[in-house]
Amino acid sequence: MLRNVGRKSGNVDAGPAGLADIDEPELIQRCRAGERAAHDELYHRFKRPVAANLFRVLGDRTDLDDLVQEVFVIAFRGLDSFRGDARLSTWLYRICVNVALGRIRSRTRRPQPIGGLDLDLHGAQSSLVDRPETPERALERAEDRARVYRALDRLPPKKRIVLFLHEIEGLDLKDIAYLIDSNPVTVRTRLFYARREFFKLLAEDGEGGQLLAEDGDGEPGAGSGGGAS
Amino acid sequence: MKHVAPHRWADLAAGRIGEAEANRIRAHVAECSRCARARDRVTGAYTALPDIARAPAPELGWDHIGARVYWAVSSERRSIERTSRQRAVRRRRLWVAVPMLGAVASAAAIAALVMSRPAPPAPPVATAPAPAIASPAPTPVELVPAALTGVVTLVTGEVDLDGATTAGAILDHAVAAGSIVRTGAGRAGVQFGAGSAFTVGAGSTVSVRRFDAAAIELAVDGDLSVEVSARAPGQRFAVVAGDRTVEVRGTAFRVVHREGALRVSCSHGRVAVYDSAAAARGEVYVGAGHELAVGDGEPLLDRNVRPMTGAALAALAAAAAPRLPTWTDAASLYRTSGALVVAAGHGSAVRVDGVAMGQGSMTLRVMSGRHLIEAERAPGRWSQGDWIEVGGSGPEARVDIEDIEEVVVEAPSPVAARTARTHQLDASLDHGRVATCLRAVSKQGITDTYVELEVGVDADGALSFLNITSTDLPRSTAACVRDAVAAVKFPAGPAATWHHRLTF
Repeated sequence: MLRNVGRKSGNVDAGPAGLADIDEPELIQRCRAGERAAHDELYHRFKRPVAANLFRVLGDRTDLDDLVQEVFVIAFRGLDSFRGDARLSTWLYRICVNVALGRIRSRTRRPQPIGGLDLDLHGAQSSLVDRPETPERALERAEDRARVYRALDRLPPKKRIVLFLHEIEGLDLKDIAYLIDSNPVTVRTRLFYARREFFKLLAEDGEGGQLLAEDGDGEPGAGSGGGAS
Repeated sequence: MKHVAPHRWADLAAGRIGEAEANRIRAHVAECSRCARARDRVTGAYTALPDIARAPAPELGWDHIGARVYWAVSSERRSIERTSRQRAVRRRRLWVAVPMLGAVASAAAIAALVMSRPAPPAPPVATAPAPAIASPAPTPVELVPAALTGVVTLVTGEVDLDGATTAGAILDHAVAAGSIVRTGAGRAGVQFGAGSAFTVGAGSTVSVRRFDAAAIELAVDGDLSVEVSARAPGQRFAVVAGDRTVEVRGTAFRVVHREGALRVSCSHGRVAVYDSAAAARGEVYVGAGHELAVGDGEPLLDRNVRPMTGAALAALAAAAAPRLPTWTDAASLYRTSGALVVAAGHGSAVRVDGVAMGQGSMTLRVMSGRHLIEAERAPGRWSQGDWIEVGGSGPEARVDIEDIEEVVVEAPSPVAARTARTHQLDASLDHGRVATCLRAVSKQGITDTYVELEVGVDADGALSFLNITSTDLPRSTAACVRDAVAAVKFPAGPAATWHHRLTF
């Protein structure tokens, strides 16, 4: 589940020699035994996916290295209790989500300075691979991404994380429920309200907060938010 | 018709709305400019969501983060092991103490009973020997400490390391237990930790007897200068010189053992010198700024310890091996550092990045990147300097001192300048402010942390640069410590550049 996005090829991130080919259960076993090389190999395998996930959830790289460190410290501490029910990547993703949630909560208590959104994200020009685009179009896309994060920042943390996992990461209710340690029904309700709030914020962005008298579905379960799975 | 709810635009874009409903919405938006604006914003942002999902990981200091993770996890593991060992010891003591108390109490009760009654005639009792209770033999648990690896950082003149004699081969040869370093007219520097290194002086032989996480033991015949940072609890660092042993923890010192005479000089911390043979067991301590001179076979007496002269202290500082500014593990260091060959005339002093490296031609291991090489043309007259690019794991970089242009720059001894500025920094640093920076870390019970800074101070006392070269603290905490250092006011004086290590 932990997706490896944009990993560079080459030997830049080559892990410790000799352990690159060992499978996950053996790697975990050797990490539990306190073997330094296994520890390094696990870190090298998952460092970029972990950082990418945190980066996508939070939208900026402020203290990203501290958060990556936190994820791996929690993971290595908890490796003894990892039963292997889920894949290691899924388990790490769960830790990422919880660390990100904690970060969002603390940021909500202590608001970010104005202009805190990371410009690097604006440079995530994946579309350039597909087709060349004009500078104006690139700017528009960057502005659209910035508006998405502005709206996400205004959502309560629990709604934000559910909406992010569903609308952006494309996960279904069951997976989201596992990641945030909840149940699918709660996730479904939370997602219903989160979608309404999120798209309303997007629609109002630049309108000075004028509310629209709406014509839409009126209860959880109707529409895509509730029904998505 | 009412206005369209914003989330319906996302549903429409995703094709989740039926055709009839979609037509109704489109008909409304053709007449409603407000809904048209809302549609443009929502659909624009909605199409940006896949871009966000594909955003790659930004480049971070991966090695640094990895080292911090390992440090945090292994420290915690060691702490847990230590606690469980202590508990086991306490339990064992309890098992011994309870039966002993019981035995003492029973003996006292019997004694009281015997004293209170007249003794009856003793019947003939056949006494059988008490059966021997076989106590289970403790199973010895042998813990194999992790082996250390030393990285050669300096080679000048004639050096032989485990048979390797060319500078390039020596620089690429790792020092481990069993290694032997021999020098003729030359010297070699070996780094084995962030703040730990030793230099083998000319005409010396150093055998690495033990080199692991539990103990480091070097046997010296000749001249050995050591700078060793605070070791892990329980780790031993010893230099064996003839029939004497010099044992340290967190200090900088020099041991010269030649022709039956031992000289131990100490610039920081304190070392203990004692007779290796258990029968003799003489012991003296040599503190900072003091030296001990004693012949083999002579008793170790406190009166043999004398203060060092300024020149001796400067020579001791100059003998220190160059150290790499970052230390992760030997394999990473070999990848990220490279060889720098400096060709200089005999007796010509060389500075690299403002740090004095010694005299004459030398081969150094330095981090990849640009480095400034300077040569001393005459006492206090330094060349303008030459920049050279060193690549990691690539071919060695060479610089010829003769090619460097000479300029007239009057400068005091770099060692004296560095020493003076270091003392000024230590004296003026606001330790209260530093403690405030570390409060959060201290609350977590984390100790033995450090920040190593590269500090440059010009002749006016202004900071020319201040960089964090290495730390195991979180970035914000290290930055806070750096800010505390930046607040130090230096007086006008000699310009100096040095690596300053603050340990907490």
